[in-house]
Amino acid sequence: MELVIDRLSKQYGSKIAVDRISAKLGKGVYGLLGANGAGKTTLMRMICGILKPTSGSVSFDGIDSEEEDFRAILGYLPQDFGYYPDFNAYDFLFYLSSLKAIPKKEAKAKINELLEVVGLREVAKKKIKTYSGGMKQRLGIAQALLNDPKLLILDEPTAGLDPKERVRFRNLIEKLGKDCIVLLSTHIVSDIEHISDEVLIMKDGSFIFQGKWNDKESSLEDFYLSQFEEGEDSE
Amino acid sequence: MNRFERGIKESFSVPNPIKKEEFIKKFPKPEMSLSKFVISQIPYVSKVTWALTILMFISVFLAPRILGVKVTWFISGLTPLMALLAVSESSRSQKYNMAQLEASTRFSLRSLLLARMLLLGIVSFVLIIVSVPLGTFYGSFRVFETSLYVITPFLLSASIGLYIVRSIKGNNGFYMVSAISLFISLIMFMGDKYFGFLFLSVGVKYWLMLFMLLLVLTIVESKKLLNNTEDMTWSL
Amino acid sequence: MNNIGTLYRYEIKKIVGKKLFWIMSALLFLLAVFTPFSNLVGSYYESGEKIASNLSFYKEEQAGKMALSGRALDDELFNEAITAYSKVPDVFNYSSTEEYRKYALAYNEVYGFIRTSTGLKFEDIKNWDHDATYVYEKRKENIYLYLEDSFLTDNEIKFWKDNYEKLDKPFTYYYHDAYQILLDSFQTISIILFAFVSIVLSGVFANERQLKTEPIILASKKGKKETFMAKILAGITVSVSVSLILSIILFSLCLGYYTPEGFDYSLTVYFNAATYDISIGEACIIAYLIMQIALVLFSIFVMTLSEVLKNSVAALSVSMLLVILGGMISIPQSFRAIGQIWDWLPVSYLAIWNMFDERTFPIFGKCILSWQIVPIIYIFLSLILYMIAKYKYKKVSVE
Repeated sequence: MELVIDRLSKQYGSKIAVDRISAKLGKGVYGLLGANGAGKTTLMRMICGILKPTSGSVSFDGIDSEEEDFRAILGYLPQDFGYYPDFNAYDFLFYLSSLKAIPKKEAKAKINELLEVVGLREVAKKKIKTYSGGMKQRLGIAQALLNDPKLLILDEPTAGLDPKERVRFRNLIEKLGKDCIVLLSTHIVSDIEHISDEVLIMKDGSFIFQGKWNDKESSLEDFYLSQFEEGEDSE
Repeated sequence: MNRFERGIKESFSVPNPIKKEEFIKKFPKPEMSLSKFVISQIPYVSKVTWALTILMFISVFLAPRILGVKVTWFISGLTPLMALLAVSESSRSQKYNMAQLEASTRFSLRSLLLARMLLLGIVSFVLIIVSVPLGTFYGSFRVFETSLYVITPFLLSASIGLYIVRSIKGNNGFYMVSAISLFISLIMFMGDKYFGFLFLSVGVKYWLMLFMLLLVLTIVESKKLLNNTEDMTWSL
Repeated sequence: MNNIGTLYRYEIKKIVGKKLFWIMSALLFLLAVFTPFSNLVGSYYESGEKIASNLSFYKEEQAGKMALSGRALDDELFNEAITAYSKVPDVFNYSSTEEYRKYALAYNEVYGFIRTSTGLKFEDIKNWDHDATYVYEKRKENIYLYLEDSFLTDNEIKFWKDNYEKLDKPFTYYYHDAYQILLDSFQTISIILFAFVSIVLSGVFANERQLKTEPIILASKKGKKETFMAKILAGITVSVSVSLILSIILFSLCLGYYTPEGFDYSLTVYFNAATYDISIGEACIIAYLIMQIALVLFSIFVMTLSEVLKNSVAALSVSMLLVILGGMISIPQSFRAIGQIWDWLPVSYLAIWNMFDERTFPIFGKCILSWQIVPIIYIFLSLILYMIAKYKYKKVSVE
């Protein structure tokens, strides 16, 4: 199981949003850190195959990101996603199950299981427009897990979750990371501090750090900030 | 600066200012009256709205030459579009999530809304005042009938539009307002060809009743929108 | 297939789940229910005085026309009509006189036939001394003159003249109000249906971007090809279903209240320019069937706009503008090619005077009637638009 990102770039006019990023990710949890505008969302969208790169490629076990088979193993939670106001949680997840080509019977069982996991079982028949921000986010997490993805891309997944929900989420990701590749971007360092196998720090479209960090030497937050300072010093 | 001024500047050092902020604070802050505030909003009304408004005025003046006697239906089809522009401008704060910021300023969201509604209301009024005589002169109806056929669709579009933007937030509401205004425009544009039964002289009394009802509704909905500004800042 | 079925059902749910869909549907159905009876509502006034209710007026007229139904438009019927009209006082508003109601009302369509064929004016009725042969000769003369002034090719003129010769004369008069109402209201219903399609389908693709559901859909296995197909099919299903239901209601009401009598009434008696052997009943069926095909094309067009413009209001504005322009603009016949292309666009074509007019489509020297070729063109254009939209959607990204 390997995600290969090969010299991926995205350019908008004269602005380079993602600058020749390469990486090989195996099973585990990868935390993607970076300031606003670093290019994290652009990178994640290209990995998911929903944004055409200017150059470079992404493949999972040899399957290119533009192919249907790639999307079959993908679970994606965008940073800012919408919903159909008149759908309830069941409708939304059934609809997405059909998009993910999950047979009906299997979908029903999976949806019930996921609604239990994200704590939305009791409000599943209510319309999404009545949900709080945290409930919508949990629904988003549920839809990303519908097809038991081998590659899970989560863009700021804990936004809107309260501390208790964040802990639950972290435990879930840690468990998932044992069987699939999880790439998780966040501003909340504590989300990935103890669960990420590797940290990817992004700045101005490039990785300025990629690897494991030693939690005995310093906290991840200090480590993260120090990378930026080092970057500034070298400039 | 001449060489003497330059010489003096170079020879003498200016002492650092003392209590600069306190001194500046003593000056009275420039106040803005409501009318000035309304006028100051002119450049903040979207350029597209102004462009479309100008286009409408041009169309109204050109229409008699091109359409002749059918000018009445053309003008009465334009006025709902003017109402659409006015309503969409009034609901911009909501649409672009600026309501919270605007609500916390000196001139509150309510004043801002009132200013925008006034601005576009005046423009709409001018359009109607210009259209009715043109429609009467070149068209086939009397002043009273022409006025009804021009103003009533405007009020219908405005009242429904104001109700919708108050009840349905975001793009969905804006789309509904656009759809309904365009539909009313379509009925009026096609009036002579396909909906002639709406413009028979026996129907004038119904038009008058509809006009009065819609005038009241438009005023009520405008007031409700102004009073509803607190609701706009509720982000849920 | 199971998944596509589910996707298709959810796409329909997205369309019909909107309040605007139900508001527009309600308006459409009100129109459908009101249209057949719009002439029966209210009263007839003369100088501020109520003469009679429109319904009672119509009942008298209907009874009279039904009594004449099935009779040949020949000397006997023409003489009866002229005699009846001769009893009506020669005043400006003769149609509101008691004599008109008593004697002439039932013969108004027969008189109309004589008038359009010969140019006979009401004030000259008492001097009428012609027979049916004269009427048919004058009719033929006027139609031939009209054909020659209509910027048709020589082949077309010959085609129409030959067709006219083949028609059985004398024509038979039938009471045909049901079909007349169906044809008279055809264009109004079509325009409202097009507006309905614009409003209901402009957001099919654009809404996914506006609602921010696009990234999740595009990142799913069936998020491209199958989603596209499901959306297009759902859009077509909704528009055609509403149109069919509307047509069924309209046909049921018209035929139910006004009776199905008159199906075989020759279209050329009702609409002069249609000089070929087709009945008014057949014309109704053809017209309403072509409307369904035109709606399929227009639905795909609106959804393509929705995909290309990525903005539901923009797609709505462009498509509604086309509907308005189609209804308002008519290009003079002297500009044959442009005029024909414009009149054959779905937004203009759904009108009796375009659908059954004299302009044909020449293929290998043969003149194909517009209502025979236009549906085929529409199906072909629908496929092309579908391909363009599919290609566009295949390349879509969240940019």
